Amino acid sequence: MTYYIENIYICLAAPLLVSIMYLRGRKRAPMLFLLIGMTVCLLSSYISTFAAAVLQTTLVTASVEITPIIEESMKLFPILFYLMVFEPKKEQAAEDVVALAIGFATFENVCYLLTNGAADTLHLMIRGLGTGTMHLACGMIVAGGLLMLWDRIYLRFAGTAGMLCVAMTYHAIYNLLVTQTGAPAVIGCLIPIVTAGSLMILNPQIHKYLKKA
Amino acid sequence: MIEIVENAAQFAVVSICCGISFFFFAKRHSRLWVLMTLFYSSFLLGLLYWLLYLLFYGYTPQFRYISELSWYTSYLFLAMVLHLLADPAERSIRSWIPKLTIVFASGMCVLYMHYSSWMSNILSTVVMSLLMYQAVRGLIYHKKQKPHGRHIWLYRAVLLFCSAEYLMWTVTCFYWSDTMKNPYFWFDIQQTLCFPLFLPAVSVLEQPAKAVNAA
Repeated sequence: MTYYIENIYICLAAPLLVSIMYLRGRKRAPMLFLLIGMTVCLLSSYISTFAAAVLQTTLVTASVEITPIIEESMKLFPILFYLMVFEPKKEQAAEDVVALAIGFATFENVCYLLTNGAADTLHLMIRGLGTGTMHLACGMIVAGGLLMLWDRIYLRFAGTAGMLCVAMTYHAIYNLLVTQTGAPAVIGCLIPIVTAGSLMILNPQIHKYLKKA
Repeated sequence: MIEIVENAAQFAVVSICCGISFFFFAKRHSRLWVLMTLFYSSFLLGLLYWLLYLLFYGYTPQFRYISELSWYTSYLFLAMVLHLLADPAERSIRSWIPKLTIVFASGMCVLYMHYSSWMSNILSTVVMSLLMYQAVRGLIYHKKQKPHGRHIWLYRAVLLFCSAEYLMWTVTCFYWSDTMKNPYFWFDIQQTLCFPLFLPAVSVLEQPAKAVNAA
């Protein structure tokens, strides 16, 4: 069956768009970042497909070696724009980055469901949790790093490039593991959950550092 | 097989260093240890990706950008550590000798471009030039200071690290074999041994750097 991701995007984006128009003040930001996350996911899929075709690679090679670079770069651009133009408070910016990552993961999971079917509940639960948490963990890595390194100009540029590369490699390791079968795939799905858990435990340390800085 | 074993040993060493560095960050909440943890962790991630790819597929990645970007990022974080630790007077030193590192890195870049991707080589040249420039500049400045013990160990370790990297790249251009006869593995061991050297060198310099930044 043929399906068009643009149409799926319209269906998912419409209620968010309405809520953005309806809500007022700070409540609007999470909805907006969810929508931006979905949009970025749509654009990333176009660019990844194009890059894979140009480089003449297989689907697996593309997902392990090309897609992480494109997806993480695409996720970073709106965050950078937000940080540079609106100069939000550190905690607020971190929350918005997480909302963007969730938007991205949601749209990716919906596309995955349409391609691979929705029959196997256990597999979908692992996949949903794994991918969803992976994008969340990447978002948290970038957000945490940027907020820690954002206050000095030399750290700002090098730190941004650095955190982007860290997120790309993390994403690539996840993709590399989940494309395998058996234990590596299970470990791959568990890595983001463990990372997100560790980052939540580390949250007080990061906040202490941010207050000190 | 030897490449997997050697990379696994390097992975173990860098993991321990990353853990120690994170411990110092959790204890002291200083920017220096954030950068050191990022240096080790980004190198570790690149290495993990490389190692897993080797284990699963038996050969190295077709497009090496992910691991390479990760490694260059870690060098960038190390360069930021050097920048943070440098005295204000050290940053304004006027000498032509540090600039030779840029000439050296550019020359090597031209050589390596015959064998691998130009984009990756340009990135590595920029990062390595930055790292070596700061290390040589610091070495020149602190050799003139009396007493000159503290900073010199860090700069020497950085130069030893960079030399291992350049020797590895150069060997790869002309010779490859998966045995211990390959000099690539000797220099990789040299690089592995450099990682723990940074920890005491940075730890010793933390207090004076705090005083300079506060002043």
